[in-house]
Amino acid sequence: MPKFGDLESAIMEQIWRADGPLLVREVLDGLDRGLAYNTVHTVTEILHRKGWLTKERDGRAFRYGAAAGREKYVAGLVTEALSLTDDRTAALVGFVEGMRPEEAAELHRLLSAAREQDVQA
Amino acid sequence: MIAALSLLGYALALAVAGPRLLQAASWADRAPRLAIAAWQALTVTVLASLALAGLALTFPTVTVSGDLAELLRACVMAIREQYASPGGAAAGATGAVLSLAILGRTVWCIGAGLAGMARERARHSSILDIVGHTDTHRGVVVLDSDEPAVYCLPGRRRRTIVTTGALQALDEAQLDAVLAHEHAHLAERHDLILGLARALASAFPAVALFRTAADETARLIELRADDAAAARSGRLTVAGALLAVASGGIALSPAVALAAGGHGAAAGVRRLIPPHQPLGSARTAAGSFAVAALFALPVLLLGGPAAAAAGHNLCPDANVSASTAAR
Repeated sequence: MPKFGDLESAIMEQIWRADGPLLVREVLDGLDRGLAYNTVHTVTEILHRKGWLTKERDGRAFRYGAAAGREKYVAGLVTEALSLTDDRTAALVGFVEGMRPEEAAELHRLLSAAREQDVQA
Repeated sequence: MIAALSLLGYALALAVAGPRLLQAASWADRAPRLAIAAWQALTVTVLASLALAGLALTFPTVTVSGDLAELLRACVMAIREQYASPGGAAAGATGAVLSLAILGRTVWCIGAGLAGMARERARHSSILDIVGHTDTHRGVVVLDSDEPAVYCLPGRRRRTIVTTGALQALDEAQLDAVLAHEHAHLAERHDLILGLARALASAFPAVALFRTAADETARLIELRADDAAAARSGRLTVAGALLAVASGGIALSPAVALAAGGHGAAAGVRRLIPPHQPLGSARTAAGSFAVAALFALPVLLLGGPAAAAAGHNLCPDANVSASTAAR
Protein backbone atom coordinates (compact mmCIF):
# COMPACT_ATOMS: atom_id res chain seq x y z
CA MET A 1 0.00 0.00 0.00
CA PRO A 2 1.65 3.24 -1.06
CA LYS A 3 1.70 6.28 1.20
CA PHE A 4 -1.32 8.51 0.77
CA GLY A 5 0.71 11.46 -0.49
CA ASP A 6 2.42 9.19 -3.00
CA LEU A 7 -0.90 8.10 -4.44
CA GLU A 8 -2.12 11.70 -4.71
CA SER A 9 1.07 12.56 -6.51
CA ALA A 10 0.78 9.55 -8.85
CA ILE A 11 -2.84 10.34 -9.73
CA MET A 12 -2.00 13.97 -10.51
CA GLU A 13 0.90 12.72 -12.62
CA GLN A 14 -1.50 10.55 -14.68
CA ILE A 15 -3.94 13.37 -15.23
CA TRP A 16 -1.26 15.93 -16.09
CA ARG A 17 0.17 13.53 -18.64
CA ALA A 18 -3.20 12.78 -20.27
CA ASP A 19 -4.62 14.85 -23.13
CA GLY A 20 -7.94 15.48 -21.45
CA PRO A 21 -9.99 14.65 -18.36
CA LEU A 22 -9.88 10.98 -17.32
CA LEU A 23 -12.32 8.49 -15.84
CA VAL A 24 -11.29 6.90 -12.55
CA ARG A 25 -11.08 3.59 -14.47
CA GLU A 26 -8.53 5.13 -16.86
CA VAL A 27 -6.48 6.55 -13.99
CA LEU A 28 -6.52 3.13 -12.32
CA ASP A 29 -5.30 1.40 -15.51
CA GLY A 30 -2.56 3.98 -15.96
CA LEU A 31 -1.31 3.56 -12.38
CA ASP A 32 -0.70 -0.16 -12.86
CA ARG A 33 -0.21 -0.72 -9.13
CA GLY A 34 -2.90 -3.31 -8.49
CA LEU A 35 -4.94 -0.88 -6.42
CA ALA A 36 -8.64 -1.23 -5.69
CA TYR A 37 -10.99 0.95 -7.76
CA ASN A 38 -12.48 2.41 -4.58
CA THR A 39 -9.10 3.49 -3.24
CA VAL A 40 -8.30 5.45 -6.38
CA HIS A 41 -11.83 6.86 -6.53
CA THR A 42 -11.62 8.08 -2.93
CA VAL A 43 -8.27 9.78 -3.41
CA THR A 44 -9.44 11.34 -6.69
CA GLU A 45 -12.47 12.77 -4.91
CA ILE A 46 -10.20 14.17 -2.18
CA LEU A 47 -8.04 15.85 -4.81
CA HIS A 48 -11.20 17.34 -6.31
CA ARG A 49 -12.27 18.68 -2.90
CA LYS A 50 -8.82 20.17 -2.37
CA GLY A 51 -9.19 22.05 -5.65
CA TRP A 52 -6.56 20.16 -7.61
CA LEU A 53 -9.04 18.43 -9.98
CA THR A 54 -12.10 19.53 -11.92
CA LYS A 55 -15.00 17.10 -12.22
CA GLU A 56 -17.46 16.74 -15.09
CA ARG A 57 -20.23 14.22 -15.72
CA ASP A 58 -19.72 11.74 -18.53
CA GLY A 59 -22.71 9.40 -18.82
CA ARG A 60 -23.00 7.53 -15.51
CA ALA A 61 -19.40 8.29 -14.45
CA PHE A 62 -17.29 11.39 -13.89
CA ARG A 63 -14.21 12.62 -15.67
CA TYR A 64 -11.48 14.37 -13.68
CA GLY A 65 -9.18 16.98 -15.19
CA ALA A 66 -6.32 19.08 -13.79
CA ALA A 67 -7.45 22.43 -12.39
CA ALA A 68 -4.07 23.91 -13.33
CA GLY A 69 -0.89 22.70 -14.99
CA ARG A 70 1.95 21.32 -12.94
CA GLU A 71 4.18 24.24 -14.05
CA LYS A 72 1.84 26.71 -12.40
CA TYR A 73 2.17 25.05 -8.99
CA VAL A 74 5.92 24.67 -9.33
CA ALA A 75 6.36 28.29 -10.38
CA GLY A 76 4.20 29.36 -7.44
CA LEU A 77 6.36 27.45 -4.99
CA VAL A 78 9.60 28.76 -6.44
CA THR A 79 8.41 32.36 -6.46
CA GLU A 80 7.20 31.99 -2.91
CA ALA A 81 10.50 30.50 -1.78
CA LEU A 82 12.42 33.34 -3.38
CA SER A 83 10.22 36.21 -2.27
CA LEU A 84 12.70 37.68 0.14
CA THR A 85 10.50 40.68 0.81
CA ASP A 86 7.78 38.61 2.42
CA ASP A 87 8.28 38.42 6.15
CA ARG A 88 6.31 35.25 6.50
CA THR A 89 7.68 33.00 3.79
CA ALA A 90 7.29 29.33 4.47
CA ALA A 91 10.70 28.59 3.07
CA LEU A 92 13.84 29.74 4.75
CA VAL A 93 15.78 32.18 2.62
CA GLY A 94 16.37 30.89 -0.86
CA PHE A 95 20.01 30.43 -1.71
CA VAL A 96 19.47 32.77 -4.59
CA GLU A 97 19.00 36.37 -5.15
CA GLY A 98 19.30 37.78 -8.59
CA MET A 99 22.40 39.69 -9.53
CA ARG A 100 23.09 42.41 -12.06
CA PRO A 101 24.95 40.95 -15.07
CA GLU A 102 27.91 43.33 -14.78
CA GLU A 103 28.21 42.52 -11.09
CA ALA A 104 28.15 38.78 -11.85
CA ALA A 105 30.84 39.23 -14.51
CA GLU A 106 33.10 41.08 -12.10
CA LEU A 107 32.67 38.43 -9.43
CA HIS A 108 33.42 35.70 -11.98
CA ARG A 109 36.73 37.47 -12.74
CA LEU A 110 37.61 37.84 -9.05
CA LEU A 111 36.77 34.24 -8.38
CA SER A 112 38.87 32.79 -11.20
CA ALA A 113 41.80 34.99 -10.14
CA ALA A 114 41.50 33.63 -6.60
CA ARG A 115 41.31 30.06 -7.93
CA GLU A 116 44.51 30.56 -9.93
CA GLN A 117 46.25 31.91 -6.86
CA ASP A 118 45.08 28.87 -4.95
CA VAL A 119 46.49 26.52 -7.56
CA GLN A 120 49.84 28.34 -7.54
CA ALA A 121 50.09 28.34 -3.76
CA MET B 1 11.49 56.30 40.62
CA ILE B 2 15.22 56.66 40.04
CA ALA B 3 15.49 52.99 39.06
CA ALA B 4 12.60 53.37 36.62
CA LEU B 5 14.11 56.45 35.02
CA SER B 6 17.55 54.82 34.71
CA LEU B 7 15.98 51.80 33.04
CA LEU B 8 14.02 53.96 30.63
CA GLY B 9 17.18 55.90 29.85
CA TYR B 10 19.12 52.70 29.32
CA ALA B 11 16.49 51.30 26.95
CA LEU B 12 16.42 54.55 24.99
CA ALA B 13 20.22 54.78 24.78
CA LEU B 14 20.46 51.15 23.64
CA ALA B 15 17.70 51.52 21.07
CA VAL B 16 19.39 54.57 19.55
CA ALA B 17 23.09 53.77 19.86
CA GLY B 18 22.98 49.96 19.74
CA PRO B 19 22.02 49.47 16.07
CA ARG B 20 24.55 52.10 14.94
CA LEU B 21 27.39 50.50 16.87
CA LEU B 22 26.53 47.00 15.70
CA GLN B 23 26.08 47.97 12.07
CA ALA B 24 29.37 49.83 12.07
CA ALA B 25 31.20 46.93 13.75
CA SER B 26 33.69 45.47 11.30
CA TRP B 27 33.84 42.19 13.22
CA ALA B 28 30.18 41.32 12.58
CA ASP B 29 30.81 39.79 9.15
CA ARG B 30 33.78 37.84 10.47
CA ALA B 31 31.84 36.37 13.39
CA PRO B 32 28.22 36.20 12.21
CA ARG B 33 27.12 33.95 15.05
CA LEU B 34 28.33 36.38 17.69
CA ALA B 35 26.72 39.23 15.78
CA ILE B 36 23.38 37.38 15.68
CA ALA B 37 23.61 36.86 19.46
CA ALA B 38 24.45 40.55 19.91
CA TRP B 39 21.31 41.62 17.99
CA GLN B 40 19.21 39.21 20.03
CA ALA B 41 20.71 40.52 23.27
CA LEU B 42 20.10 44.09 22.17
CA THR B 43 16.43 43.60 21.33
CA VAL B 44 15.64 41.47 24.37
CA THR B 45 17.45 43.87 26.71
CA VAL B 46 15.59 46.91 25.40
CA LEU B 47 12.27 45.13 25.87
CA ALA B 48 13.22 43.80 29.30
CA SER B 49 14.45 47.22 30.45
CA LEU B 50 11.17 48.83 29.47
CA ALA B 51 9.14 46.10 31.17
CA LEU B 52 11.32 46.35 34.29
CA ALA B 53 10.97 50.12 34.30
CA GLY B 54 7.22 49.64 34.46
CA LEU B 55 7.69 47.18 37.29
CA ALA B 56 9.92 49.62 39.17
CA LEU B 57 7.22 52.29 38.91
CA THR B 58 4.55 49.92 40.17
CA PHE B 59 6.43 48.64 43.19
CA PRO B 60 8.33 51.17 45.32
CA THR B 61 11.81 50.45 46.67
CA VAL B 62 12.40 50.17 50.41
CA THR B 63 15.34 50.05 52.73
CA VAL B 64 16.80 46.58 53.02
CA SER B 65 17.01 45.17 56.50
CA GLY B 66 18.33 41.89 57.81
CA ASP B 67 15.02 41.06 59.41
CA LEU B 68 12.55 39.71 56.84
CA ALA B 69 9.46 40.74 58.82
CA GLU B 70 10.92 44.22 59.12
CA LEU B 71 11.57 44.35 55.39
CA LEU B 72 8.02 43.26 54.54
CA ARG B 73 6.53 45.79 56.93
CA ALA B 74 8.62 48.53 55.37
CA CYS B 75 7.45 47.35 52.00
CA VAL B 76 3.78 47.54 52.85
CA MET B 77 4.33 50.99 54.30
CA ALA B 78 6.05 52.11 51.13
CA ILE B 79 3.29 50.75 48.93
CA ARG B 80 0.58 52.36 51.08
CA GLU B 81 2.47 55.61 51.05
CA GLN B 82 2.93 55.60 47.28
CA TYR B 83 -0.66 54.72 46.46
CA ALA B 84 -2.04 57.14 49.07
CA SER B 85 -0.96 60.10 46.95
CA PRO B 86 -2.68 60.60 43.59
CA GLY B 87 0.66 61.18 41.82
CA GLY B 88 2.16 58.00 43.26
CA ALA B 89 -0.90 55.96 42.32
CA ALA B 90 -0.83 57.36 38.78
CA ALA B 91 2.86 56.48 38.40
CA GLY B 92 2.16 52.99 39.71
CA ALA B 93 -0.74 52.48 37.32
CA THR B 94 1.27 53.81 34.37
CA GLY B 95 4.08 51.42 35.22
CA ALA B 96 1.75 48.44 35.43
CA VAL B 97 0.16 49.32 32.08
CA LEU B 98 3.59 49.76 30.46
CA SER B 99 4.84 46.40 31.69
CA LEU B 100 1.71 44.50 30.77
CA ALA B 101 1.40 46.15 27.37
CA ILE B 102 4.98 45.32 26.40
CA LEU B 103 4.82 41.75 27.65
CA GLY B 104 1.40 41.10 26.17
CA ARG B 105 2.19 42.56 22.78
CA THR B 106 5.48 40.64 22.58
CA VAL B 107 3.98 37.29 23.51
CA TRP B 108 1.00 37.80 21.20
CA CYS B 109 3.06 38.76 18.15
CA ILE B 110 5.57 35.97 18.63
CA GLY B 111 2.75 33.45 18.93
CA ALA B 112 0.93 34.81 15.88
CA GLY B 113 4.14 35.01 13.85
CA LEU B 114 5.21 31.45 14.58
CA ALA B 115 1.70 30.08 14.00
CA GLY B 116 1.49 31.90 10.66
CA MET B 117 4.85 30.52 9.59
CA ALA B 118 3.80 27.00 10.53
CA ARG B 119 0.58 27.34 8.49
CA GLU B 120 2.43 28.64 5.44
CA ARG B 121 4.94 25.83 5.72
CA ALA B 122 2.27 23.14 5.96
CA ARG B 123 0.57 24.52 2.84
CA HIS B 124 3.84 24.76 0.92
CA SER B 125 4.75 21.25 2.02
CA SER B 126 1.44 19.75 0.89
CA ILE B 127 1.83 21.23 -2.61
CA LEU B 128 5.43 20.02 -2.66
CA ASP B 129 4.20 16.49 -1.88
CA ILE B 130 2.30 16.44 -5.15
CA VAL B 131 4.51 18.37 -7.58
CA GLY B 132 7.98 17.49 -6.26
CA HIS B 133 10.08 14.41 -6.96
CA THR B 134 12.02 12.89 -4.10
CA ASP B 135 15.70 12.28 -4.79
CA THR B 136 16.46 9.70 -2.11
CA HIS B 137 20.13 9.53 -3.09
CA ARG B 138 20.78 13.17 -2.22
CA GLY B 139 17.97 13.46 0.28
CA VAL B 140 16.35 16.42 -1.48
CA VAL B 141 13.09 17.23 -3.25
CA VAL B 142 13.50 18.19 -6.89
CA LEU B 143 11.18 20.71 -8.55
CA ASP B 144 10.90 20.97 -12.34
CA SER B 145 11.77 24.60 -12.91
CA ASP B 146 14.31 26.35 -15.07
CA GLU B 147 14.75 29.05 -12.43
CA PRO B 148 17.78 28.01 -10.36
CA ALA B 149 16.81 27.91 -6.73
CA VAL B 150 17.77 26.01 -3.61
CA TYR B 151 15.94 26.49 -0.35
CA CYS B 152 14.91 24.63 2.74
CA LEU B 153 11.61 24.16 4.46
CA PRO B 154 12.15 24.00 8.23
CA GLY B 155 9.82 22.42 10.75
CA ARG B 156 8.83 18.92 11.67
CA ARG B 157 9.16 17.62 8.10
CA ARG B 158 12.28 19.55 7.26
CA ARG B 159 13.32 19.26 3.64
CA THR B 160 15.74 20.80 1.20
CA ILE B 161 14.39 21.68 -2.22
CA VAL B 162 16.44 22.00 -5.41
CA THR B 163 15.11 23.03 -8.81
CA THR B 164 16.22 21.31 -12.01
CA GLY B 165 17.59 24.69 -13.07
CA ALA B 166 19.91 24.68 -10.04
CA LEU B 167 20.96 21.08 -10.72
CA GLN B 168 22.02 22.14 -14.20
CA ALA B 169 23.87 25.23 -12.99
CA LEU B 170 25.91 23.40 -10.33
CA ASP B 171 28.56 20.69 -10.48
CA GLU B 172 28.68 17.95 -7.82
CA ALA B 173 31.07 19.78 -5.47
CA GLN B 174 29.05 22.99 -5.72
CA LEU B 175 25.79 21.16 -5.08
CA ASP B 176 27.37 19.60 -2.01
CA ALA B 177 28.35 23.08 -0.80
CA VAL B 178 24.86 24.46 -1.37
CA LEU B 179 23.29 21.56 0.52
CA ALA B 180 25.72 22.13 3.41
CA HIS B 181 24.53 25.76 3.45
CA GLU B 182 20.89 24.68 3.68
CA HIS B 183 21.63 22.03 6.31
CA ALA B 184 23.28 24.69 8.46
CA HIS B 185 20.04 26.72 8.27
CA LEU B 186 18.05 23.68 9.36
CA ALA B 187 20.45 22.39 12.01
CA GLU B 188 20.91 25.77 13.72
CA ARG B 189 17.19 26.59 13.58
CA HIS B 190 17.73 29.85 11.71
CA ASP B 191 14.01 29.87 10.99
CA LEU B 192 13.24 30.37 14.68
CA ILE B 193 15.94 33.02 15.11
CA LEU B 194 14.60 34.93 12.13
CA GLY B 195 10.98 34.28 13.07
CA LEU B 196 11.48 35.82 16.52
CA ALA B 197 13.33 38.84 15.14
CA ARG B 198 10.56 39.44 12.60
CA ALA B 199 7.83 38.94 15.19
CA LEU B 200 9.36 41.73 17.32
CA ALA B 201 9.62 43.96 14.26
CA SER B 202 5.91 43.45 13.58
CA ALA B 203 5.02 43.89 17.26
CA PHE B 204 6.62 47.34 17.51
CA PRO B 205 6.73 48.71 13.96
CA ALA B 206 7.47 52.24 15.18
CA VAL B 207 10.75 51.18 16.79
CA ALA B 208 13.48 51.23 14.14
CA LEU B 209 15.71 49.02 16.26
CA PHE B 210 13.53 45.94 15.76
CA ARG B 211 13.23 46.42 12.00
CA THR B 212 16.99 46.82 11.68
CA ALA B 213 17.58 43.81 13.91
CA ALA B 214 15.34 41.64 11.73
CA ASP B 215 17.03 42.76 8.49
CA GLU B 216 20.51 42.27 9.90
CA THR B 217 19.57 38.86 11.30
CA ALA B 218 18.34 37.78 7.86
CA ARG B 219 21.67 38.87 6.37
CA LEU B 220 23.82 37.36 9.11
CA ILE B 221 22.22 33.90 9.06
CA GLU B 222 23.16 33.71 5.36
CA LEU B 223 26.78 34.54 6.19
CA ARG B 224 26.75 31.99 8.99
CA ALA B 225 25.40 29.29 6.64
CA ASP B 226 28.05 30.26 4.06
CA ASP B 227 30.74 29.77 6.69
CA ALA B 228 29.35 26.37 7.62
CA ALA B 229 29.34 25.35 3.95
CA ALA B 230 32.87 26.72 3.49
CA ALA B 231 34.12 24.65 6.41
CA ARG B 232 32.97 21.57 4.49
CA SER B 233 33.59 22.45 0.85
CA GLY B 234 36.07 25.32 0.85
CA ARG B 235 35.32 29.02 0.46
CA LEU B 236 35.91 29.27 -3.27
CA THR B 237 33.59 26.34 -3.98
CA VAL B 238 30.83 28.02 -1.99
CA ALA B 239 31.49 31.33 -3.73
CA GLY B 240 31.34 29.59 -7.12
CA ALA B 241 28.09 27.86 -6.21
CA LEU B 242 26.49 31.09 -4.99
CA LEU B 243 27.56 32.83 -8.13
CA ALA B 244 26.37 30.05 -10.43
CA VAL B 245 22.92 30.02 -8.89
CA ALA B 246 22.58 33.78 -8.55
CA SER B 247 23.81 34.78 -11.98
CA GLY B 248 21.70 32.06 -13.58
CA GLY B 249 18.61 33.58 -12.03
CA ILE B 250 18.72 37.05 -13.52
CA ALA B 251 15.39 36.75 -15.28
CA LEU B 252 13.45 36.47 -12.05
CA SER B 253 9.89 37.33 -11.24
CA PRO B 254 9.39 41.06 -10.52
CA ALA B 255 8.97 40.67 -6.75
CA VAL B 256 12.20 38.74 -6.50
CA ALA B 257 14.09 41.06 -8.80
CA LEU B 258 13.02 43.95 -6.61
CA ALA B 259 14.42 42.31 -3.50
CA ALA B 260 17.57 41.47 -5.43
CA GLY B 261 18.11 45.16 -6.16
CA GLY B 262 20.10 45.07 -2.93
CA HIS B 263 23.49 43.45 -3.03
CA GLY B 264 22.93 40.55 -0.67
CA ALA B 265 24.12 37.73 -2.92
CA ALA B 266 26.94 39.75 -4.49
CA ALA B 267 28.22 40.85 -1.09
CA GLY B 268 28.06 37.25 0.09
CA VAL B 269 30.20 36.06 -2.82
CA ARG B 270 32.63 38.94 -2.41
CA ARG B 271 33.12 38.09 1.24
CA LEU B 272 34.03 34.48 0.44
CA ILE B 273 36.71 35.17 -2.15
CA PRO B 274 39.59 36.48 0.04
CA PRO B 275 40.98 34.05 2.66
CA HIS B 276 38.85 33.76 5.79
CA GLN B 277 39.89 35.76 8.84
CA PRO B 278 37.85 34.48 11.74
CA LEU B 279 37.72 36.63 14.83
CA GLY B 280 40.45 35.69 17.33
CA SER B 281 39.43 33.83 20.48
CA ALA B 282 40.29 36.83 22.69
CA ARG B 283 38.05 39.15 20.71
CA THR B 284 35.29 36.55 20.54
CA ALA B 285 35.45 36.19 24.33
CA ALA B 286 35.38 39.97 24.76
CA GLY B 287 32.38 40.16 22.44
CA SER B 288 30.54 37.43 24.32
CA PHE B 289 31.25 39.24 27.58
CA ALA B 290 29.85 42.47 26.16
CA VAL B 291 26.70 40.64 25.06
CA ALA B 292 26.27 39.18 28.56
CA ALA B 293 26.83 42.61 30.09
CA LEU B 294 23.97 44.04 28.01
CA PHE B 295 21.63 41.56 29.71
CA ALA B 296 23.06 42.07 33.19
CA LEU B 297 22.92 45.85 33.27
CA PRO B 298 19.14 46.32 33.65
CA VAL B 299 19.13 43.97 36.62
CA LEU B 300 21.96 45.96 38.21
CA LEU B 301 20.18 49.20 37.43
CA LEU B 302 17.07 47.96 39.17
CA GLY B 303 18.65 46.63 42.33
CA GLY B 304 22.36 47.37 42.34
CA PRO B 305 23.09 51.08 42.59
CA ALA B 306 20.35 51.81 45.06
CA ALA B 307 21.30 48.87 47.22
CA ALA B 308 24.95 49.83 47.15
CA ALA B 309 24.44 53.51 47.90
CA ALA B 310 21.55 53.63 50.32
CA GLY B 311 20.65 50.01 51.00
CA HIS B 312 17.57 50.08 48.79
CA ASN B 313 16.05 47.11 47.09
CA LEU B 314 13.06 46.25 45.02
CA CYS B 315 10.08 45.51 47.18
CA PRO B 316 9.18 41.82 47.12
CA ASP B 317 5.76 40.67 46.03
CA ALA B 318 3.12 42.97 47.47
CA ASN B 319 0.51 40.29 48.12
CA VAL B 320 2.87 38.23 50.20
CA SER B 321 3.87 41.20 52.30
CA ALA B 322 0.30 42.30 52.80
CA SER B 323 -0.82 38.90 54.02
CA THR B 324 2.17 38.63 56.32
CA ALA B 325 1.50 42.05 57.78
CA ALA B 326 -2.12 41.13 58.41
CA ARG B 327 -1.06 38.32 60.70
